Amino acid sequence: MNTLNKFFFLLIIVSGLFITSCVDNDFDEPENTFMVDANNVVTIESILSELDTAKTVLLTEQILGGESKFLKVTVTADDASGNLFKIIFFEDESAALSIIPDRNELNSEFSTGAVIYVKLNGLTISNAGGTPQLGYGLDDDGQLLRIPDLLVSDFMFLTNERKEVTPQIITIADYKNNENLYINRLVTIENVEFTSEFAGGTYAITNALSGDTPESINAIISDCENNTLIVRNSGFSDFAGDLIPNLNGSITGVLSKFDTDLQLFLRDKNDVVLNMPRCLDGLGEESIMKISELVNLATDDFLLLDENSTGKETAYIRGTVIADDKSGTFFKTLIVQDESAGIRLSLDAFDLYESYPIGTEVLVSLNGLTLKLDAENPSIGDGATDDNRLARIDENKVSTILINTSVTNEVQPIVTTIDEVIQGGPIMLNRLVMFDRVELPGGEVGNAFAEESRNITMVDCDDESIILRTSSFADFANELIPNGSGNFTGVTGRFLSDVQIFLRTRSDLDFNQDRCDGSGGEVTNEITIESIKNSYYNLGADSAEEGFITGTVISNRDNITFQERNIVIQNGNDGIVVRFNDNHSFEVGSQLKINVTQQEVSEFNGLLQIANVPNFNAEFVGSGSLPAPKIVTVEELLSSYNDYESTLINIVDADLFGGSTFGDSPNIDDGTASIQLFTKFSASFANEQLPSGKVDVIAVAAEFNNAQLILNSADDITGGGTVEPSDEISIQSIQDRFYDLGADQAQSGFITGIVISDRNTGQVNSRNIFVQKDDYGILVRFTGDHSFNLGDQLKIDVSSEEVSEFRGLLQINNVPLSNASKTGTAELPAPVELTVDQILNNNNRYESTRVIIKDATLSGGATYGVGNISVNDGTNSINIFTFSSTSYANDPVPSGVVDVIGIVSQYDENPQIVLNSSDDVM
Amino acid sequence: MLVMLFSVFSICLTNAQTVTGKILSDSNKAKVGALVNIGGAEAVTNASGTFIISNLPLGVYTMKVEFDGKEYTRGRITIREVNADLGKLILSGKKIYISGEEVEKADEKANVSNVDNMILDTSNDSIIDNRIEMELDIAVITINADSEGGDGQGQQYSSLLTAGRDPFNAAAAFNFSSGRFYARGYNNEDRQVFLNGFAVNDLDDGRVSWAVWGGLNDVLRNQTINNTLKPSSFSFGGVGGSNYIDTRASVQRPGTKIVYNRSNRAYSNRFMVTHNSGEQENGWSYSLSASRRWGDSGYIKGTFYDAYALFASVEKKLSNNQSIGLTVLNSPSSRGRFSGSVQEAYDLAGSNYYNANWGYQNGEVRNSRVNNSNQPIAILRHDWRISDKVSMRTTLAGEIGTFGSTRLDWYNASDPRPDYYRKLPSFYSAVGLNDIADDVAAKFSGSEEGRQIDWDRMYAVNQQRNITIENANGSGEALTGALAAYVVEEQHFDNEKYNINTNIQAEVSDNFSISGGLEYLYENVHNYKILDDLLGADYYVDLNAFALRDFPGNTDVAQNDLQRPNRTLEVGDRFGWDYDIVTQRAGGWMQGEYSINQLDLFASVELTNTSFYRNSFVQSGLFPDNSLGKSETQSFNNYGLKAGLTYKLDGRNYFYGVGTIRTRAPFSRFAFLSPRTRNELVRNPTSEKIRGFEAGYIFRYAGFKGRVSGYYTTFQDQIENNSFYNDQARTFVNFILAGVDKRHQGLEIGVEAKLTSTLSLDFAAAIGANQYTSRPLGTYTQDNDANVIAEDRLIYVKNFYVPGPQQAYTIGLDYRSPKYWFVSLNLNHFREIYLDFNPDRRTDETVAGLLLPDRNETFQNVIAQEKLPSQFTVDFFGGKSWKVDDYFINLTLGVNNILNNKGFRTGGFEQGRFDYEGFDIERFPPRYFYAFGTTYSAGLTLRF
Repeated sequence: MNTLNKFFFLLIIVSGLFITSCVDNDFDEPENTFMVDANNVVTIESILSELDTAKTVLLTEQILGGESKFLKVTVTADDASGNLFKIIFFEDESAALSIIPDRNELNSEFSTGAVIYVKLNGLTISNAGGTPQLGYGLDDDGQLLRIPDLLVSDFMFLTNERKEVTPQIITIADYKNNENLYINRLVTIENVEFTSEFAGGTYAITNALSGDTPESINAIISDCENNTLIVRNSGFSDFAGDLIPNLNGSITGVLSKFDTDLQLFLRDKNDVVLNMPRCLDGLGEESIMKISELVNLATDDFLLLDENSTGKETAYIRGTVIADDKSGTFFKTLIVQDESAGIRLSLDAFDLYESYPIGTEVLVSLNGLTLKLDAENPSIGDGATDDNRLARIDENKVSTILINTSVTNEVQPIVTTIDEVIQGGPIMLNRLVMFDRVELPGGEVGNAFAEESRNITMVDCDDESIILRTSSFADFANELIPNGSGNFTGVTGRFLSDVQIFLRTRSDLDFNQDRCDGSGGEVTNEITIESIKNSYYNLGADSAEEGFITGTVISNRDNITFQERNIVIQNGNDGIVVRFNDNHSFEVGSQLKINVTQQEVSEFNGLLQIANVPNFNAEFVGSGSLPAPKIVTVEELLSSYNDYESTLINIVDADLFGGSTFGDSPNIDDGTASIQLFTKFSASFANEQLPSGKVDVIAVAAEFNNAQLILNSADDITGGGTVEPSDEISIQSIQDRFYDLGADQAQSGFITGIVISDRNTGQVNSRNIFVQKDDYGILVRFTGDHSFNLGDQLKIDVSSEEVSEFRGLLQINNVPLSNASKTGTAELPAPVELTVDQILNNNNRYESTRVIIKDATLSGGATYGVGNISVNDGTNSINIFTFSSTSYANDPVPSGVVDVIGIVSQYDENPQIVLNSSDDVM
Repeated sequence: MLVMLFSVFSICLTNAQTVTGKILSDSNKAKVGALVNIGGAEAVTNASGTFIISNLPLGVYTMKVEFDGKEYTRGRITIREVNADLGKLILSGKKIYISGEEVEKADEKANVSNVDNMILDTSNDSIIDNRIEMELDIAVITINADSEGGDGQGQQYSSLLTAGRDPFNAAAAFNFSSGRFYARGYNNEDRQVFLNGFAVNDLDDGRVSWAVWGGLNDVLRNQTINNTLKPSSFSFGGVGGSNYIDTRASVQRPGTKIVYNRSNRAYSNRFMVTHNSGEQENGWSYSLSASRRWGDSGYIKGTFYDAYALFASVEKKLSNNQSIGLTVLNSPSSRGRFSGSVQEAYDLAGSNYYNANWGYQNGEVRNSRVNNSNQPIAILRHDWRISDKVSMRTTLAGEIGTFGSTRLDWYNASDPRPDYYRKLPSFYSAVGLNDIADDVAAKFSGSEEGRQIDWDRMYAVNQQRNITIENANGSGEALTGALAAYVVEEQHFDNEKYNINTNIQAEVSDNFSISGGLEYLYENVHNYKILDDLLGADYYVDLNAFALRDFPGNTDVAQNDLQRPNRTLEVGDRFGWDYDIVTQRAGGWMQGEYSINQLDLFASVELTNTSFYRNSFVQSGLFPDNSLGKSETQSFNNYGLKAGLTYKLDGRNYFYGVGTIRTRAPFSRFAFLSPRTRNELVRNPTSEKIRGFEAGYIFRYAGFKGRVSGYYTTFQDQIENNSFYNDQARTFVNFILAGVDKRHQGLEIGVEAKLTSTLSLDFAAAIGANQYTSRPLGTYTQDNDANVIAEDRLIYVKNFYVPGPQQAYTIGLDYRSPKYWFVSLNLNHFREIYLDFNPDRRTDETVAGLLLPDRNETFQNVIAQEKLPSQFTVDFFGGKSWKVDDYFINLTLGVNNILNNKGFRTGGFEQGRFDYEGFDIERFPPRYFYAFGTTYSAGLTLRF
């Protein structure tokens, strides 16, 4: 057979082989088509009827009337929350039942709403435990057993059908009066509450944090007729550690019975909806008064709120907090309103906003409290003070009379006019209102709101006026009253004859329009950032002139690289930090117009900023592109830093060192100098890996005591990757970077120098060389023994190599031998003449260089090999260190005055001299 | 043609004869110490190159001579007369010429012989069996003595370097493997394997995955194997020896070979086609091989097999001194796995080969645990004979591929595995519920549906799921749909390896040679898992269900990746964990061998540096601060020293002794406390210390050869790391043993005696005692908990045995007919088989309640190591070959375990869970593995 035929033959065989011999590993997706003929489906009711005559019945073919009879049911409760364990409740049109398979996580298949078939033949129905359940035979104690895991699939069959599950609404009494009708049912019981023993406590005892053994709790709910029912909560449920609301409402769950105890199981926490007053204090919605009813009852007299005065056995109001004590405008006061009216609550407690922040829906239990037009303002307190004012409600009572329903409402102000408020009477007091164009007196413009608590007249353009009352404790009290008119949102009130308005927070005032007489309003003259900087740097001006600045936001808030209150804004060549009073929401690239009139100009750790600018002073005027970054070298940047700070900078062809992720805030070095490239740990890209090699960087020039650059995003570094070191770097720069910046890696590039240590003496470790160029030297430690001789001219790629100190001596560590190449030989650099004192005082400068110490005397031994020989030139002394194994160790140490040429080294704290030969001592 | 086939060989047998001859080089120099084999009868040449073979019947034989690591063959030599003198036999190329024939001179080939042995096509590709094949495939005795300069006084004996076809090694490989016998109790990682120079041991765990080149038997048979501490020319060698597989095209036997096998072991069918060019006149050689192995089910149900293999090697001879070759190969495979089960499940299923991994899907068998391997390799090798005395071999190799292993995963759903202990009858009988136990037993044993995975149920569950995830994909929006309860995931250990190394061998003088090498290895094992099958659901979610359960309501801790919270997953998405273990090793070794008249001496040294780190691409919610990014790099410097001598009493009797002391860096895979979740390292990872000594006696008479040797090896400071799901802790736990010391000692005996020229008796025995010698310290960590659960628990396992048989014996008869057929029958015996153990069962903390006198028996039961019963098996192997024109046809049949012993427990492991209250060791019984019953493999080979 010739070669061609052979190949043909083989080709046929091989292709046949690969085509024909298949292993089938493709599987079709099975479809669940489980169905039971309707003739074989029986009702739960018919099965339950078997229990009329016995406590336990094995469901046989005889009883069921067929060898294969099924229930078709909808699951009403599963074990998803962990409150139910190895049990499923279900219902059909006739009744409800439960089943106990010996399997965890039943909800994965038999979840609430799933329609399932249950095969009855072979199962046992029992109510011996109190609740009719399906199980698998009985144990010796007559207890129903669970269906073994392996057999569950013989009895429970999933369909693809689902049905909505609606609980039946019943009362506790209904259940107690007709157990058999409701047991196993999913029900909602309305107008119930947990008894005081349980309300406010946890649902069960959990191990989540405390390490306790989880324990179930039989909590008790009660309706207002004192009908009670056990709610059994498992310590393994996912809500076991949550607090039970101290309120009344509806509770949903499945009903069961344990022995003689009737009980309810919650499916999950959503089954508990409690948001009404408790029975002991009132009865649901009927006890709730409109606030307007209350306001209408209020007079100058003290009115005790009780059944007589309110007409209700217990009375509540339900309202939303519209003002709290957070900003300091109000003190020990909450203002609450409902749709009808508002009212002031006078409470003897601090920091109310922590429990009742604005927007909280609260219930106020009125019985026993006092209602009064206190200084003509409708208020609720508790009794009278000595000076006949309304007394505050005692701190200890606050939590019982003021119930947080856990509901939060958004509060919209009523848009109205000063006139309507003044004329509105009590019903318009304690309301959140908005005026659309008002102003403060021209004479007040530029003054603080309230150095002392005071009243200012607010006027609208119709000359209607109202008193703006501001407390000196308000957090905006020292802010300046703006020039202009505009929107105002505040809370109405009254003090004696004065209808007043209160500013809750400074941002509720937005005066950006001209005053009614056409003056003021928006500042119209633009000032430049440059002029602000010049005034500050040249004249020491610590506040800005009147005017606004414009510019583009160059700081990125999304990546959280800048402080949340700060922006960096640039216009043309100049930029500055603007620090707002609150966190801002200006995106990078936003064009802003910021009123900086009289705002503080200061340096924060060296960085110039316009400080504490109210957020409303900034106006968004559009989005634009970022200014072109200025291409500069690091050296240029540093040398005239104030010119560049807070502008976008582009550094090209630079190395990053001193970190592996952005969050390490590496230094960046473009060969001219280096500067820190700062990224906050919390920045979104802080954990991303830094690129290696030469990179271009666009960043914002900033300062934190030292000049630094701040990145907006990881994408602002481009380039990188591995680059052949093409640049020579100086030994000095490696030293400087290590000592000054802590850089523990060399920059990208190579060093050159002359080997000044002799490997043949055995004095210097066989992996180490001292290499010197000009008058800077360094120890290079290779990964293996080298073969470079004294006087060899070397080129060593040190890109990213470790720079570290070995017992105090700076080294470039673990440099692969292949990184070093010999480029020639040269004369050793001339030793620098130094005194011992100079060496000791500038050790880091001279270490690893050749020096000569003149006119010194040696002492400490007859030969060098004793270890240390002291060199004293009259200024100080330093040791020559020699190993006993060094080649010249046995040479005699000369007496008398000598000159010593050696390499400056260091061992821990002690600088020392290393010789290449005993001839170096002359 | 068929008629011809049966009429080719007609041979007369007459009385016994003596055959003599003289072996010469093609320059007419005597070859001293050459091993001559005529029809199976062997002799060694004396100082004048002369051999004498006795008792060889008249007939036509194949003749082989092995000398200096090379083999020479002559397909047909006819012994026609009593006391025949074959005269001068000249070795040249690969052939033996009779004086007077024209000798074709061929270039010397490298130091690898090429044997084609027809018993080699065993057709089972499990890792072990693959190894058997390799080890059987080896090239025999490599003899290295240059007698050409000898003085002819009979005082210079050839030096015995390696003994590949050592009777013991053959037995260990072929007869002992079915009992899961490991030579000397060593692990896979104790042997260094080189594929054409590519150091293939994984750096992260030291292990060799033989399956990577499965199915390429015909092109990987050129191997140099060293099972001892003795020196190799290509590496320093592991404590268990080393293999060198030579894939160069030029050393492949020229011609075409087609093989078909039928078997009932791992696969049903194998088809393999190989074509080798041999070295062509233009200096090019090429070698191509392709194979397919497949079967819907192996011996164990559910273990389908679906594998391809492709191999191509080209080589160019650049000059007389240099050649360069490229080998590329790939054996993509997909295999259904088997997992051991408890005896209860085996008994109920009525088979010790019950495999819980599979189930029916739409009536088809589907395995949940499938290994998918696709790991191509490329190797560039350069051979350079720098001078007559110096040669250099350089290899540049890479392997980039994927290895995945599937399993079921589930989220807030019940355990779907059918042999989960809560599903077995014993779970009920243990608490007295015997009726239920009976019903469960009936279900389990009643039908396969009752005891296998229910795929259809998992689909049904997934299809109807209606789950809402808040803040899906971190978008702030909720997603409602069929979130899978059950999925199939594939855990990946993807290898990326690069390797460069070079070896030099130099003959410094006639009796002194030096060899050595340098190596650099880089390995990145990418560990992650992907979603393989949603089983009918719409999506899955990348949450840690364990953490969610432990910290209800804390949505951060449950994130597998904080950077992509609540990420929904589709098929193919990575999830769970995603990290690299990057390991690098650089080193070098050097060896000197000195040979004098009756003594060979050698000494070797190796120095390496190993470094590794973990680099994770996800940020675990449980460990936000030390899960993402790189761990610190660990670096270890290690050394190895080895020295030995061989005393050559005469050309037939050798005594040798070798000792070694070495350290080994901890394996990066085991150095992290819980590598799937965090960067935390085992406390103080240290290099293990290995000391070993072996000595032996080798004899090599014509018709009677063998070896007796003893070994003594200690390992100190090993780290063992077990990860498993712990039901009681309800999470994955990592049990790390530190300070594991072991001592391996024993005797190996292998003898082959020719009873007649055709019948031989083989005997081999491995009598070992491979034991733990320390009480290691156990540390428990959980994947979901930064706290160390238990630290420095003293584990009372001193004197426990390394799992597996300590002793193995085989005795066999081997008949080789001159009519080109053979049969062999072996009786094997395995003793002292020990089970792998659960360390936590042997701690003070566990047995504290058992120290009262009345509980002594329980105490003993809890702490003892289980010993499995001794076993016998019988194996048969036979074959016949024909030649028709230029076509060779081989037929082979192997039958293992002829007695169909299905009760042979080869090993197993104890479960991680234990009855800490009741101390009932049967509560969570061990999982066992059984040796297959009777299996066969038949092969038909056509070669031309």
